[in-house]
Amino acid sequence: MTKRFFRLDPNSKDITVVFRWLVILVLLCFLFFSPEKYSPQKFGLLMGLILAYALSNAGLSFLSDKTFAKYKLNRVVLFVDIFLISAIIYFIKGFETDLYLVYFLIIFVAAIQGGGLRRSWVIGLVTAILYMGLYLRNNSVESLLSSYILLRIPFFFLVAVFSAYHSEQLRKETSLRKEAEEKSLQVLQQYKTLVDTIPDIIFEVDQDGKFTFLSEAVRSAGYSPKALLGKHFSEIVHPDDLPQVSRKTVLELYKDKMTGDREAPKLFDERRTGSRMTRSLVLKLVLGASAAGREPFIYVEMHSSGKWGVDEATGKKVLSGSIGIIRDVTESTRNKKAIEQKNIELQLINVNLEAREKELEGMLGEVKKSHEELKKAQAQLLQSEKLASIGQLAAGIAHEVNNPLGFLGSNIAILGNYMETFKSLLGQVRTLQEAVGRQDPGLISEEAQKIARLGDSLDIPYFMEDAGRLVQGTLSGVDRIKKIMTELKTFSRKDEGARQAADLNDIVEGVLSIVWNEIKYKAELRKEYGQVPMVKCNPQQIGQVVLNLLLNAVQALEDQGVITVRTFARDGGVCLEVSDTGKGIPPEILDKIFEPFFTTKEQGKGTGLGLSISSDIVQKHKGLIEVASREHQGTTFTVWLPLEARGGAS
Amino acid sequence: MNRYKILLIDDEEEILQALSRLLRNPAYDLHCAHNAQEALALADQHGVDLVLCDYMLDKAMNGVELLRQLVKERRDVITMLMTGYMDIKIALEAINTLGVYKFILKPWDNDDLLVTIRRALEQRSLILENRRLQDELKKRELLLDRLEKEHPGITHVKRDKDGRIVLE
Repeated sequence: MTKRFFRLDPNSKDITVVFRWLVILVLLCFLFFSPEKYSPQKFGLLMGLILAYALSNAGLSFLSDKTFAKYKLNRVVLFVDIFLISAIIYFIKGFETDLYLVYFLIIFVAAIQGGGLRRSWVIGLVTAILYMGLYLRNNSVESLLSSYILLRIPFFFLVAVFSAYHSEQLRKETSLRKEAEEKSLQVLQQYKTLVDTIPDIIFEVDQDGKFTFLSEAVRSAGYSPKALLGKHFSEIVHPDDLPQVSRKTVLELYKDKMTGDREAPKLFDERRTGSRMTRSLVLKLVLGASAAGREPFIYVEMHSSGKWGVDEATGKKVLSGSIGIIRDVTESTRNKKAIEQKNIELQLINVNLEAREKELEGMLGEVKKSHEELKKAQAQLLQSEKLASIGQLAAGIAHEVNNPLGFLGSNIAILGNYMETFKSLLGQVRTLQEAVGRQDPGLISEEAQKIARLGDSLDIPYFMEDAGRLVQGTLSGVDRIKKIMTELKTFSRKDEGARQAADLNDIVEGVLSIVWNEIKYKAELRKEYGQVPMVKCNPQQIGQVVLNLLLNAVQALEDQGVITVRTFARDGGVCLEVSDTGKGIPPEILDKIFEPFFTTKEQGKGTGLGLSISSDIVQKHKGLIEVASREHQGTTFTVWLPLEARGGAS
Repeated sequence: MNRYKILLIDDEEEILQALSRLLRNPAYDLHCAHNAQEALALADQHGVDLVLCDYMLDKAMNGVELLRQLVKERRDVITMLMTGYMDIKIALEAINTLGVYKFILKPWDNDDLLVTIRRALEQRSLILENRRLQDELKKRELLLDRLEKEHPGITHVKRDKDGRIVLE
């Protein structure tokens, strides 16, 4: 700082030159105002000196500042000037005149040049010595005391000191101001760069809503900041939004209405400040010409605050305008709008879904209901099929029942006849007894003869023998009927769905007693019962399977044949094999036989459900049903049942 | 005394026994067969007037077929078919193609069956009697023809109002 303080003033050359012209002017004035004092010779000499002085000054004015400073010409010039002026004063004997004042100019210049107090002091001293010395050359020391010369000496120093002091003061001030200016320029530059770097638009409007400042970012909306200055903000706000954001129109709407800060309107040209200023006002901006081809507008979010100043005259706060920041939120708004749109769609979908759900619930109810109905229907079907199978057996069963019934009825009627005979015989015996009681030998012999005659005529031994046979046959017939009825009842009664441990051999035997009539006239039956463990199953249903397989086997026989029923244990379960030596199943329909309503029998002879239902039953028992067949050689059905069928309703 | 020969055919012993019991009658000569083979043999051996045959008989032959065979050689034999199950097809076949006298359903009514059999046999005896008489007549006619040939005019006898023979 100190170094700069004493540095040469950059303008010192100009100042020097100007002051020297002034000195020259003053000298010339002296010279021309009192020419009578000087002899022409002297006058010529003085003019020459002044001319030289002027010439040197002219030369100096063409010299560059740098050169001036480089060779420190200021000092040289100063001393030359002092000598010159001293010389002029000496030559014209101007000690009594006011010419000494010119010295002051020089000293002043020296101070202005920035030489500092010391140099001013030296200049003052040199001037004093020269002035005094030259005076004493022509005058005595005594005259020195009587004249004002001595009085003038301190003034040289005084001027030197004062001018130096003021010059320094001035310089200091100048330097400080310059520094401050530089700094503020720098700050301004920073601020401008900053404002123009911010991607958001920063604006300022005056109290009328006209732009007084716009940051460079406004170019992104297609405007040049310069072109918009002085224009009203309605130039850029979308017409749709303008009434909602303009103070003029909005305040009209809110007139006489009290609003809290929360419900307070948001404004472009906001006048409120601080916490009540406009924040996050979303509106649309019309794009400028240079943004043509893009969307007609963009969404922006803006913050705006009032700007207040103080009126100098009244000292009151006055509104000077609004200042704010505008941010492009088109993308996020579009996204938001899209999301809102999506939300609405989703809500709609949701509503639809709810309706659909209800519908589905209703459907579920119906499905459940129809499932129940189907289950019922299936049970009925099972029952019908069973009854249909029995229907096929009707002839056989009727035969099987009616045969014993035939001889039963006949036998009982005959037994009645026998009883009558025995009764009449017993009656005779009683008469004989009475005769014996009366001890009438004639009557006894008569009655005895009667009995003997009756006995002879009735063939009593035959009756005696036949009655036993008759009763025995009758009982066997009753048993047969009982047995078949029991089987029939067991088999045809409605399925109770109960699973119980059952012997497969027993089931097969039971079914055989029903179908025996079908088999016995057509086939030789071979039973190969193995040792089988009890199997947990629905015996009626399994019986139905066995019945179907046996009936199929019988029907497969073209004329005569052999039907073999085998039971055995296998793979943790029991197996039933029903083989026939019949016509076999053609390979092309082998995979269809388990399909419902598939039948090869003529219409009315089969339901086409037998094997399908059998397969169902076996699957419900978690078992397997398989078929192996060769045309014209026979068919074997194999049913395997696990000992305990887990899961699966009956 | 000429006894009616009745052939009973059923695969069930109990049925045969019951029928035999029912038809135990000095007038009837009963023969029981358990199958077609036996039946044919018995018919050949003893002859037959009436056959009472079950429909469900045998793996080899049913009642209708057996009756057909029996009737083939014995035109006048009375046939009755028994069945435990009324199948209209069987009935039609039996009646239409065989001329079965009666179709009997099991279980039967003893009295009905007895009456039916008695009537059938009576009818048969009437037929046989008729046939015998016709044969007789034919024989007489043949005799008359021969007489006429040997003694022409002998068969044409004229009678007067009082029924006395008038010799021409």
